[in-house]
Amino acid sequence: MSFGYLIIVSTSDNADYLELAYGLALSIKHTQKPGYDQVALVIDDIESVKELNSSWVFDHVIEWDKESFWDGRSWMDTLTPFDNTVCLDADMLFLRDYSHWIDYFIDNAELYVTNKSYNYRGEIVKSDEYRRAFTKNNLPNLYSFYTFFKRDSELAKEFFTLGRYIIKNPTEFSNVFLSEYRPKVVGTDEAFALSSRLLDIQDEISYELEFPRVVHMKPALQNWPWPATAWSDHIGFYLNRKGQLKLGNYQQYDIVHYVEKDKINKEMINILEELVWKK
Amino acid sequence: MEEIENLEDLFKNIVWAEPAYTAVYDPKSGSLHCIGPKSVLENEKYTIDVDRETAEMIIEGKIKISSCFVDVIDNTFQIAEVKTAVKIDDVLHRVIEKQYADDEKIDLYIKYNVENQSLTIELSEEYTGTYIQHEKFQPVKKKNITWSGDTEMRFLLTDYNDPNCIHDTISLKISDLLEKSKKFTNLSLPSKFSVYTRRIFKNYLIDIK
Repeated sequence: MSFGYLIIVSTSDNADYLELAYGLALSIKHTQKPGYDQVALVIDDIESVKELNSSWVFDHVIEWDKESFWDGRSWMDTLTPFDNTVCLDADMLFLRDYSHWIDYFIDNAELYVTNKSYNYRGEIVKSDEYRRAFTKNNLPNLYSFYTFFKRDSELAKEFFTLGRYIIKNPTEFSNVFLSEYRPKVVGTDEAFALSSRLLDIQDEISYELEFPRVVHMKPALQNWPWPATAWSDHIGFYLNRKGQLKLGNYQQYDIVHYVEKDKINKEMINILEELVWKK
Repeated sequence: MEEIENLEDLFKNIVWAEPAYTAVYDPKSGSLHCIGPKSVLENEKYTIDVDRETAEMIIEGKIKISSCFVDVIDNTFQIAEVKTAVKIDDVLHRVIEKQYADDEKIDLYIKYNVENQSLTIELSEEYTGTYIQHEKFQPVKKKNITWSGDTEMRFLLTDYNDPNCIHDTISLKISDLLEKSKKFTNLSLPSKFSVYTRRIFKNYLIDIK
């Protein structure tokens, strides 16, 4: 039974998503033990991968251009080359060994979607600043940035198929099921939450667990007593040469979803490359 | 006549226009005369657009208008000294290493000599310092700015990309860099280190050799 992480990106004018995926893959290779460090990349421009210094950090590179931007993630079940997969957002970093989470999911779950996140001080995020559509419409609080699934699971297949259908028909689903607060965009998170509610499987796919722990760096989630438009206006991003990350003066141990795409630049990539080369 | 059924819904759908700000400046010195809504100052000859956040901070007095100037050569708006800095990068700015720097003009140049563990600081020739800009930026026109020579610059020499672990601090005054450089010797630093400082200039650079 194979296991691996799946990252789905597409070319964008707003950010270099391949560079973000590369940074994440390097951090996975650096921190995860063998058997838990496989990475597959789905990308619309396969040629650009060859230009990376260490493109081998992607164990599988799959060319796919059927969807763009985040919509592609809803196709994760059809794109993965692994029997067991965790699909991740590209703008994340791994900072320690999380393989024990994977052992649990492989033994106990067909599909698991994360239902909470943390701020950089380790506090559980309670704000619904970016999730009014969830609270007003009583949707389960699902985050697609860390989604585990088994490829042969019928439950997962049904869940993702409906999720794709929701993304393709946002107006119809918003009008009927999100009438209390219509989101500007029905993204993967909204589609997953709605899919789980319509199939009535939320307790099966997103029950209470102490993991996965993901630090979500959207600025309004940081419990600051002031409004913030960018978290990096207020605290620094300090990745040292051992691949250890401090946000402000808080050492990070959980997966960090840094959100601001400029945090991974040539210098940070260089740090991560050197760590992986030395391993 | 159309009846308004739900005033709350009506207000929800109103899209408020983003206010646009502009500054009026002296074309010779680059100093700012005033700042305000663009619609009010549109008849002025020498104006430059300023982003909303900065404009409102100047209007509220959080940034002194006397600390702002327009680079009349590049036609860019700059803040010379932020006395009330609000962004972490303004109070704790990491000096970028040469190999990772963008190809821009440098305002303050730091050279670290690994062999004799000395650090030399130079101000750009634009500000009457000794650092000569790259030939592609020549000829360099001197900026007509009056500096307070007492302005102190403090540099934290820290662990690589971690200002929480400080190895040494050095400080100097701007007057120390006018037409001369300043050298610090006998520094005991790790092979990889970073330099942090309060941001007075726009572009800092460190060259480690």
